[in-house]
Amino acid sequence: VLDDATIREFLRDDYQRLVNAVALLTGDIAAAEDVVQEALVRAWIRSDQGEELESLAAWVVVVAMNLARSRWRRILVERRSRPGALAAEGGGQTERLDVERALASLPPRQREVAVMRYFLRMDTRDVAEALGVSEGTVKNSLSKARKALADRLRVDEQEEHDVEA
Amino acid sequence: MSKLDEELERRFCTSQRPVYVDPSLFTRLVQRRSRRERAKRLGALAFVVGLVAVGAGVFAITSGSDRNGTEPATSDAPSLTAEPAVGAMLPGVPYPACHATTMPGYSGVGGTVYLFARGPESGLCPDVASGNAFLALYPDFLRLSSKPTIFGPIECFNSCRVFGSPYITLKGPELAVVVMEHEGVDTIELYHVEARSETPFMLINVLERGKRTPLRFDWGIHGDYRAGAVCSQSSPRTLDVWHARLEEGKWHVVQQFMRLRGTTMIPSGTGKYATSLAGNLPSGDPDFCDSTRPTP
Repeated sequence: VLDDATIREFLRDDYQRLVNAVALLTGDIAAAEDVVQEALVRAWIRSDQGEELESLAAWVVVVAMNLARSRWRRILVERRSRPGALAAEGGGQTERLDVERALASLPPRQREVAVMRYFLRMDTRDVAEALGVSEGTVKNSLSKARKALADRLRVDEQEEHDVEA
Repeated sequence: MSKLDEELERRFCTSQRPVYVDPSLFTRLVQRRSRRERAKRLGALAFVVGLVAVGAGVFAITSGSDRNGTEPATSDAPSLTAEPAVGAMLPGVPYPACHATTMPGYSGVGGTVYLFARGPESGLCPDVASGNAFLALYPDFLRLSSKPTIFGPIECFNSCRVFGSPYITLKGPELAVVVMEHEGVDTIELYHVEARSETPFMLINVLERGKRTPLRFDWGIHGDYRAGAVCSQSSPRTLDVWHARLEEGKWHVVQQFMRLRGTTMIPSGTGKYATSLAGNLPSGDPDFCDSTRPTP
């Protein structure tokens, strides 16, 4: 059962990390905060109703990602209507914007798997469990995402080949 | 771990932004939870009011009592209660549009969608039914100045309602057209929508009674008309597809209930009631039973 102490602990230890994870998907920190808070409230209510949540952070991140996915288009429309918004949010952090743009070019599932793996540093088994899919599916998505990200972020492919060799 | 994975981890890590955690966040979350729970209780209350209203209607009919026009009554045909005499003219639509319902600025589509019955040049409006039901999409998100793409006629039996259903298939925005027959919902037609295409509506699936379907709907609003679909979380979980029209200061609500077993929906009854308070219109969780669960 989620009690007040657990929620406070979540806010202290996990909240910022998860907001950042969702912000990588949406490119919008305010929207990310909103969906993470919404997901946390839903987890709280479900727990009150007797549902067991094995890992609060994993549950919240997946639900927040689902919510973010359904709000994604609305966010895009809002952004188009105020073109300066992205630049203002950017604050010159080109590296972050590069990552966000590279992620935005991926299909939703690959995007989510990449964020869970490279930002939240979850292993493939945990990602599979959180998303309710097989580990093979996660590995497949991750492999495609990895290749596309390397290409778009211009990570030195030669270096990669050297390591693999 | 390969160098590429390490480099990606580094890039992702350096893309973090500072997140200010407001000291009052916990309190705000508690308030948000309370609002959610209150909304659910109101939804349950509206459901009970609906049932009581239906019961009262049945009693009134079976006892032969005289109803003075405002008593709720049962319905075997969920359809609009008021028939406008003539259709409205929608920009770019070359004939009168009757019983038009709309999803203005439907974000999933990036445009505005109308569902309506093709009306005659003069004379009374027909019901929205098979043979005369059309969808129109205005690609311009904010204005209706652009020319709409009209699609149809679509299958509509005795009546139909349109809902947004983004991400049911995860392949893009969709519309769900709920098709009614006399006994209630017959099918839900799922259309993929490509706003910029010459043929923006493509029928991708017909969800029949009892078939498995994930559910998530938006809202239809037009003047004194409101429609929606909400989920009652109380057991058994029930989907309530409803529409209401404001007449003489009262909302006349028509409901179609569908019991949910997992992701299967089974039409389980209809109801009708009148209320003067908009707050008594059906409410519940618009995200629907289980749509917030992780999707495979």
